[in-house]
Amino acid sequence: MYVTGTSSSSHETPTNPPIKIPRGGLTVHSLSTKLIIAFLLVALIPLGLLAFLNDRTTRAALKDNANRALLLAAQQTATGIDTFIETTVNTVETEAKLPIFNNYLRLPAEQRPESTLEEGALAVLQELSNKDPIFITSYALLDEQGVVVLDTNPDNIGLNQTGFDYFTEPFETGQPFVSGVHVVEPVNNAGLYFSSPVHDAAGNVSGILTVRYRADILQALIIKNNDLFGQESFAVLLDEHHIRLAHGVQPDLIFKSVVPLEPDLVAELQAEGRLSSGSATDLATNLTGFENGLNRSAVQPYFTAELTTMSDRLNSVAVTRLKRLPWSVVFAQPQEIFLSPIWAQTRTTLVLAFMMAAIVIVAAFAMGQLMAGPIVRLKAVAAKVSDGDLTVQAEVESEDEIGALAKTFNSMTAQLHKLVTNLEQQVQERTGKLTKANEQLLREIVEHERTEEALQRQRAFLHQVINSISHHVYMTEFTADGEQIHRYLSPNIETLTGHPVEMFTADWRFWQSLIHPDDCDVVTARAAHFTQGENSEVEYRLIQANGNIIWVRDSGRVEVDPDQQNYTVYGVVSNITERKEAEDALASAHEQALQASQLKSQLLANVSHDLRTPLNAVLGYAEMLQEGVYDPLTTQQRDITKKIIASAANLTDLVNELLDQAQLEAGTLKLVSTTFAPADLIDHVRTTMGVLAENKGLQLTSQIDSKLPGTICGDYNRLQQILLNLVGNAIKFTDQGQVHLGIYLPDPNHWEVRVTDTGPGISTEAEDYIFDAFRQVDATETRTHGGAGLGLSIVKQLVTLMGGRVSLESEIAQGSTFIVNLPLSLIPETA
Amino acid sequence: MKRDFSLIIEDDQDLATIFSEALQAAEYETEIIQDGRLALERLADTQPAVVVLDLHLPQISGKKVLDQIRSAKHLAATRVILATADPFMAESLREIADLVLIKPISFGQLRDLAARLRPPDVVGQ
Repeated sequence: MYVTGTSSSSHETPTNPPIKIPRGGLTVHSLSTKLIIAFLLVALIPLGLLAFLNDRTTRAALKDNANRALLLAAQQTATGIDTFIETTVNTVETEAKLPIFNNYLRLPAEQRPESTLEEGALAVLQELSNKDPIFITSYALLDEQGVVVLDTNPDNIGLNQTGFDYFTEPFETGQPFVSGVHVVEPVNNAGLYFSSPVHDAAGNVSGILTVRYRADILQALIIKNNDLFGQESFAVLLDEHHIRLAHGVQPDLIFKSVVPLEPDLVAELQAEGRLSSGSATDLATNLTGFENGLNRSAVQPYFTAELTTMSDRLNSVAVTRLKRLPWSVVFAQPQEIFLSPIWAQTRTTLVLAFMMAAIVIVAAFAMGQLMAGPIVRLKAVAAKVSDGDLTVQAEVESEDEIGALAKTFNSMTAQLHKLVTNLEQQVQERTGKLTKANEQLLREIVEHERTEEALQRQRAFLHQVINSISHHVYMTEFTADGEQIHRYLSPNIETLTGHPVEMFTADWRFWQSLIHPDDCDVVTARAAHFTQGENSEVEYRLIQANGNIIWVRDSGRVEVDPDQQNYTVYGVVSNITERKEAEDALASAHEQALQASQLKSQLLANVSHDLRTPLNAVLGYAEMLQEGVYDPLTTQQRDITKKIIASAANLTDLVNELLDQAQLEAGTLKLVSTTFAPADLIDHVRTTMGVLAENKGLQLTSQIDSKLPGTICGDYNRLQQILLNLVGNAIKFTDQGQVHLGIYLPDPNHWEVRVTDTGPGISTEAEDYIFDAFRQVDATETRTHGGAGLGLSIVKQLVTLMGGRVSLESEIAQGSTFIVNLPLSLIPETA
Repeated sequence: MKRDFSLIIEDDQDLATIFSEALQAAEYETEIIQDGRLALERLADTQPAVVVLDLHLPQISGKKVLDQIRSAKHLAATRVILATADPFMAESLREIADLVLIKPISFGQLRDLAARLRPPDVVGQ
């Protein structure tokens, strides 16, 4: 039910999360490992650098040495081949000078067959060829036309050799000649021609002596030099097109160019018999490194390249040229052979490095253990501390930094122990407080729920009330810029206006549009009240949806926002059309009543006026009779005359009372204030009423309060009328005893007239209506005492008009006191 | 002894008679006029000591007659007793008239009051 937000965290000690410390072993973070890595770096980096520098120097020296040796080997191999060629050329030149050959060739062609010269020449040729029976395949004589006329290989006799260089060159130059390698299928029949012209006595060329060597002679010369420089060193012989003529280790590459040649060149060489048939690709390898090295050999006789297709081993290569032929001799050795001392050196270095590493590791590990031992033990203690045992103490093993650390650690643990103990106490206290707070919170929540339920019931009740009453209830916010926002509109607005409530919520001006044009000013004016924080209640007309006009009363209570910008009005709008109509009817009725009342007053005034004249005649004549203006009266006549006069006097009082009553009712009676002496007032009353009291055998007494001013202000005639009425009444209703008239000053602001009699008294019930018009205590008394019953009513109305009060103190059979209390005025009031 | 002259201006015959008798009882010589116009004509050539004046008169109202008396120099000594049945009118003329009596007027009262209004020189004679 209630939320324990932060309470759980308060049970934990406010320490950092425990640090996991590895317990022994060789991890990256251990001290031993770090020491080992540091030692290794220190030991091995110089060693590595040294090895690297040494390797580079040695490698350069070895390479330089190898290049020079390879060049020497190449030159030695080239010299061997040059020697063979020069020797053979010289030999052929010498042999061509043998006379037999010229003699033979001088014979006419038809005499040559089976001549002795022919036999002799052939024998010489045979003998010459025998000097190298392995590689010499033919010794031949060609005549001036290039036709083979004598040959140790009889198959060739008769063949025309004019298309070959070994004929044309010596024939035209007269010099001995050595040809390139001529390829005859199959390849192993390739041959090398040496030729020299045969001169006659005149020095003219009579024919050509040719010797054909198998091309294998070149391969033999090359292979002979294998391993000349060292293990796996070998030579390669190439012609001017870089077609291999001999190869020390891969003979199958013979007659293949290093890189593919141009197809035109291939075709030309094939036509010259210097290449076997086949495409340029078939007749070539694709060793571009080798080709590039060859191309630059005139400038740089050394290079490094792959030389065979058997392996991709790199060879150091030296190149040299032959003297007579445009051929090159290449001498090579795989680098790994002559660099092998480096590998040996590297192995030594590595062994050394491993040995050093082993020593370093052992030393570092030992040192790490030596240094880390106390720390590891301290760590174990720390682990216990981190597991919650704050009483454990670390052993101080030395006075060095680790010892200081252990001391500091012990001090820290002790401090921590104190803190944790303190903290636990605080946590307990806080937990207790929190528990109490939670309980309090729970109670408040329960209370809050009850309040909420009550609020819900009130809300529902309010909703019911709003829905059940016939009034429209609203809440409207007036903004500073004149906008109005309907925050709440009760459903009754539909009943009131006939328009759906949505019309009003959509546009606040819609309500204003329903207000009767004549009443718009009234509604607009109330905004001024609202802005002053004053509540406002206005009545105005609304035009309903059906066109009917109704009256409403709009009571608004305003609440101004603290920023004084906006204010909210809570209001009730009631349909007061019926009330308005009733009011109108009432006003109309009142007007009519007023008119009727004025008519009545006028009528009474007229009646009194019209009564007075005949009444005056009755009274006048009767008095004249009484006064003896005519003849003296008899006693009986005198009595009757007296009665006539009394009746006329009564009638006069009646008329006066009626007139006063009419004036009072019509509100037309005006008081005339003058200054007078209270003593005069008493005198006048006593003078007027004295005879009347005397006639009834009553005593009329009077008294004036000495504190009363000599003169006061008031309507003297009306005061006379009041006093005469009260005293007259007192005399009228009192049969014996006295009537007392007193004027007093009960307080500085009022004066008071008291008329006291010793009459029958007035009942408590009668006190309630004795001052009502046309009422007397007992209806029968009207007949006894006469009068219309207006006297006391007129007294009360006159006293009220003067701003005073009239009251009565009476007891049955004890008499009555009428008290007139009036405000004291010393200055005449101007009407 | 020469009687002072008084004029009774009252249209009601009975009242005129009663008022006349009352003033005669107060030793006045009396003359009765029952019309406002006639009253003004009569007042032009007489100097009554006392005029008993009714307010409701034919032809010319008693109020006008009173105004005429108050504006005529030869009537400066004339005392006017207003005798009216209209208490409201009486109230408004209380300052102009010498006495205002509201009907019904007592015979004896009028006699006594009229006697008090007699001019002093006349009283002395």
